Amino acid sequence: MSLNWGLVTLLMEFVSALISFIIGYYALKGYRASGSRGLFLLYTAFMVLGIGIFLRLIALTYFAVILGVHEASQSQLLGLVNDTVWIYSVTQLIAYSLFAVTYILQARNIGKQSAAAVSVSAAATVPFSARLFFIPSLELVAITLLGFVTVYSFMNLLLKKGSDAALVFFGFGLMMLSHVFFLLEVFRKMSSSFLFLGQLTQLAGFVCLLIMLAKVSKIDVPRA
Amino acid sequence: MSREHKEYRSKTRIYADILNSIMKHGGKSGPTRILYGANLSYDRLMKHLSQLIELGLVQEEKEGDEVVFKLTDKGRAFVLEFTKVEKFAEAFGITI
Repeated sequence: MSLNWGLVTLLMEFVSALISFIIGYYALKGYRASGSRGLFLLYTAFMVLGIGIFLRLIALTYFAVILGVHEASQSQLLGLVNDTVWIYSVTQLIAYSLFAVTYILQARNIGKQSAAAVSVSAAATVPFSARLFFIPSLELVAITLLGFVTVYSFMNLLLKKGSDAALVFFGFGLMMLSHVFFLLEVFRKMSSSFLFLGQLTQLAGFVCLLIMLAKVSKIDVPRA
Repeated sequence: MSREHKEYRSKTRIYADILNSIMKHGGKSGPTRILYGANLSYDRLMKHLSQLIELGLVQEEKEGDEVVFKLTDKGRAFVLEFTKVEKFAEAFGITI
């Protein structure tokens, strides 16, 4: 039963990584077509995020297989998992930082009204930032960065009012929520339900982005 | 149409605006209509149009005394691709 649950978790991670690569690839295509620096940053962020998830997936799969065969090597493998989780967290933070940089650079190029909106979004993340000095946890940094990105995507939704912008907002919002669940998991070590919820919401976030991509790809230009 | 905030347009963006303007007029249009649609001066429009012809995105044709510019299949494909990219970028709040 627990093995099946583990497999479901691994599968969710795999799908999340795959979606991240797909979105990254599309952003690269967009960058090649338009030369937009924002799209290049988006491409880099999604690729880094996908690689991070994929690395953890490989390590966890290896860990699960070896652990299943030789239980005695648990302590050695725990070191490997710790290293992988650390690498994964850092890659995630790089990716989220790139999302934030994308939006900060974008704010410089847009009009006064939108710039004001960005200022509001930055102000909204201050309480999170303040806590960072007191709780040096990577998950909190991730929540802060994604908080900024989510607020910006919400402002974008208010300006554009389209379903595509709504899907991006929900995508980033759910990804942020997943980190809240991961953080709760840290405090409740005996229960793995938060870990499952975290991975489920992370996957849901990526699915939102995939739906947006599918919608955008379906656009057709009428022939004369 | 005066704008308080003057936006920088990339070359690709200008190409897309020209091609979209032609597309809106049924895939074939004279320079006057295009320059209004793409918000360009006549000289700049002609310069960009000659580049678009070189790239095979637009074709120049004569209709009586008038010169018209027609979208090629390659031009149409460019508009389609650019529209998708634009929608994708807009969803993330990125202006291209």
